[in-house]
Amino acid sequence: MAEAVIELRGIVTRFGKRVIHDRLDLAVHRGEVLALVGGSGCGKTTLLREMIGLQRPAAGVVRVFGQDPDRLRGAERAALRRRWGVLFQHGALFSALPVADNIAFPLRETRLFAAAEVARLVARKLAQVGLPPDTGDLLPAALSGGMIKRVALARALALEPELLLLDEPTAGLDPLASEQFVSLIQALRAALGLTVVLVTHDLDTIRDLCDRVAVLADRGVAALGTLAQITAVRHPFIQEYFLGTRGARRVAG
Amino acid sequence: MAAIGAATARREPQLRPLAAGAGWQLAGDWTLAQLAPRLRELRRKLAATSAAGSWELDGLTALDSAGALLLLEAWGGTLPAALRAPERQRLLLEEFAASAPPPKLRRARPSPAGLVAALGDRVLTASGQLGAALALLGQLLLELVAVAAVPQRFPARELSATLYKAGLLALPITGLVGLLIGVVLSYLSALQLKLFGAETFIVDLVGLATARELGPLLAAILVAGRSGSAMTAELGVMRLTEELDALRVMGVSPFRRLILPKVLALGLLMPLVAFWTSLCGIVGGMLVADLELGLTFGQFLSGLPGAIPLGTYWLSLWKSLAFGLVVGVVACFYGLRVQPNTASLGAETTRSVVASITMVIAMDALFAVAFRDVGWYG
Repeated sequence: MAEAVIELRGIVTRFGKRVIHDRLDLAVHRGEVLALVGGSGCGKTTLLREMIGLQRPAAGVVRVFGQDPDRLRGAERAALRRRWGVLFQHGALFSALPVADNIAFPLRETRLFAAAEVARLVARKLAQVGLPPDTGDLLPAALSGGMIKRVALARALALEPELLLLDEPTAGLDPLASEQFVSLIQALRAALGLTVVLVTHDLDTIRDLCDRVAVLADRGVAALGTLAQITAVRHPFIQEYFLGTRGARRVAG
Repeated sequence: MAAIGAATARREPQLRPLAAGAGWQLAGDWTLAQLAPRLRELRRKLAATSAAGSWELDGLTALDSAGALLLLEAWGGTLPAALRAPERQRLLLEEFAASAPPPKLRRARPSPAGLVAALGDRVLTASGQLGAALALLGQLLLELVAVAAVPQRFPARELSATLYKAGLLALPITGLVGLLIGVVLSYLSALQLKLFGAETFIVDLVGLATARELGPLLAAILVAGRSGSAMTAELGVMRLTEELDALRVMGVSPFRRLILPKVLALGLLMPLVAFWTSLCGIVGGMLVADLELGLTFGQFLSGLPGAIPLGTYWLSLWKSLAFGLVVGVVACFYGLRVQPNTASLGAETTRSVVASITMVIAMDALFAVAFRDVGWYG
């Protein structure tokens, strides 16, 4: 069995009296692409936030690279945080900074590189996500939806993470842009050996990109496995989601 | 977990001279995470190498952009002739070396011609702003006429909401500030008046100063800071989130629905708030007059009608109306100028408050000169 990059055990999440996760277990293996799938409000994004320590579960253990992000302090915590990159749903680019400064921001924070080196690395990151170098001068407000995602991805990759977390990477993109984004992530994963966890609603993305799928339902992981294994599970949500008329077309395709 | 620890054990990046001949050998992970703690030392070692020698990279377990950048810098930007590297690593290095040098991120330094251009730019921006402000005023007047023709289309609910938020909820703070200013004014004057034995003139001094100047001015400044800034930010965010466009699409004019009621409400509530602030200022003055000069409340109050003629009240009411309209128009003007980024939202809000307070004070000076003969006895 492959090594676990992220390990969740007995996660309980509550919003007020509403229980979102009840003793949820999940492990993400090194080098795989895992999709978190589930109905609206089943806590996909919340789970993602708990993995990276933005939110603390009411109970349970979170381990990323064998360490609990919540327990670490200071330099250790910073070192762990550098090992993952996060692509937020709406990009979360710093709106007051041009694209190049957005990507340069985490690099400058390390204080390891001279200005010329930072510029060189920024140009490299822009090329990696398939953007022309002159994109660097634009402000985030001037970018299209697909470009925002690419710039956010470049920023997430700036510190050469081993683990990439994507929240709805293809939401709001047209089919072509979303297909291009999926192949971009595939290429980057092959080149950089990334482990990827993504939250998505998009069946095409799941089919083309993901090694395994975790279906969140009934306050836990209802099913976990390859797409073929998942669709064989007799669960009302899964049957409806993957094998409804719309889904069946995609899964078969 | 032990197995995981062993599997994630990382290989330190290493740089060793070759045993035979001029050359170097790399080993370990040349990745940012591994390089970071040893960067200074490795840079020093790399600086002592030369691209002319042979380089053996077979021992590399990993290489990322940061590692490639360091190596290429040591090699002077091109791959050494005698390079032995795994296919993937070589590809990365070649790609990096071939990539275009990054475009300049920063703009050119200011030159004299640039300064002139900047000045011209400012003038053009300023005149453009003036034009935009006039256009906003004109648009508001047109909306007012349109609404007057069809009174049932008047956004009464928004008007009342603004009256409540910017007026009623502002009463505690304006009252407190008015009271305190009244206390300060009265206390300072009492000390002076005592010297001349002119204690009863405290009524004239405090009454006139608060009713004619301080009440309207303080009320306008506080409302500008409290509600003007809020209006700018609110309109700005609505612009960013395309809510204004949504209104337009539904055939609802944002000018009529959002801006007109705000401006009118500020015009209506400002005289009331100003009157209240003056009142509190007089109460503050009266308290100090009692404590410092032994002037009873009764004596103070019976002196007031003789000190403040009715004209002064009218003057300060009209003045406050003008202040309110100006604060509203300025706040909405800057709200509509917000660009889609966080810095602009903050900058325009600041500008809105500074501009409206400056304009209020400038207008107060104008009023003082223009109506110097109004509202005095004798």
